[in-house]
Amino acid sequence: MNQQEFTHNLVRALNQSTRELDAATLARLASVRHEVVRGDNHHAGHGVLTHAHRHPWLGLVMAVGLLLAGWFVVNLQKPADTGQADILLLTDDLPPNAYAEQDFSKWLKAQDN
Amino acid sequence: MAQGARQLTLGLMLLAMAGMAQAAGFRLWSELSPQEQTALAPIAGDWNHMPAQQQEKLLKVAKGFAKLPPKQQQVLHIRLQSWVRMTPEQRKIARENYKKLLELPQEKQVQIKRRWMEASGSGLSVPASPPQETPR
Repeated sequence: MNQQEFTHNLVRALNQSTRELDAATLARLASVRHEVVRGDNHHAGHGVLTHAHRHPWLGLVMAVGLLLAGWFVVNLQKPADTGQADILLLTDDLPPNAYAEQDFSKWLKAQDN
Repeated sequence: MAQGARQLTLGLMLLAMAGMAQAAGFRLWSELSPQEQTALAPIAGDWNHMPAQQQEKLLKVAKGFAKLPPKQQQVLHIRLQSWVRMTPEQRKIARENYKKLLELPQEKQVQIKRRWMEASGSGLSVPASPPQETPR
């Protein structure tokens, strides 16, 4: 018996058993199923915003968190740039446009060899 | 209390947005200090049209300007205008190439600069320092 046949037989057996249940039991099962389904839907709506509605301080914490994250991104992610490199470049023997030429790098490599 | 917390949250968000605008750091020429205006005088006319990021970099240059010898201040002033009129990509290439040059030994740097001057028909408009003898 393969997996498909086993599943088919299992479903058939369950259906057969269900048909044999008395009306009162079926009604109780239906009632419980409705309650469970309604409960699931109710819980599905409990996102962060629902909690924020019930707990206003959660919104405040989120705002502070966002603020801190933004500050870290702006200030800590970029390397320290004091402008010294630009000053050296601007006051170098060669003018900056010499360094800006696309082939300077190739030329530099050729001279280095 | 819930109402107060909501108002505080809104206030903090506005403060965060104001902080971000401040971080963007755009400043008008008239808002610069006299020292900054002196250092950046050659680009006064361009200043208010520059993106905040470029202004920020130039203000760092301005900070170091006062410490430079007069001769180098003069060189910087002469080159500043062409520097700000380069595209961001050109400035990026210039910084990268200059960094590569600085990684070489001092003697090699001098040699390369001299060769570049010769190759470009002495395109050196304003020498920042007198040409040095190339070690052979």
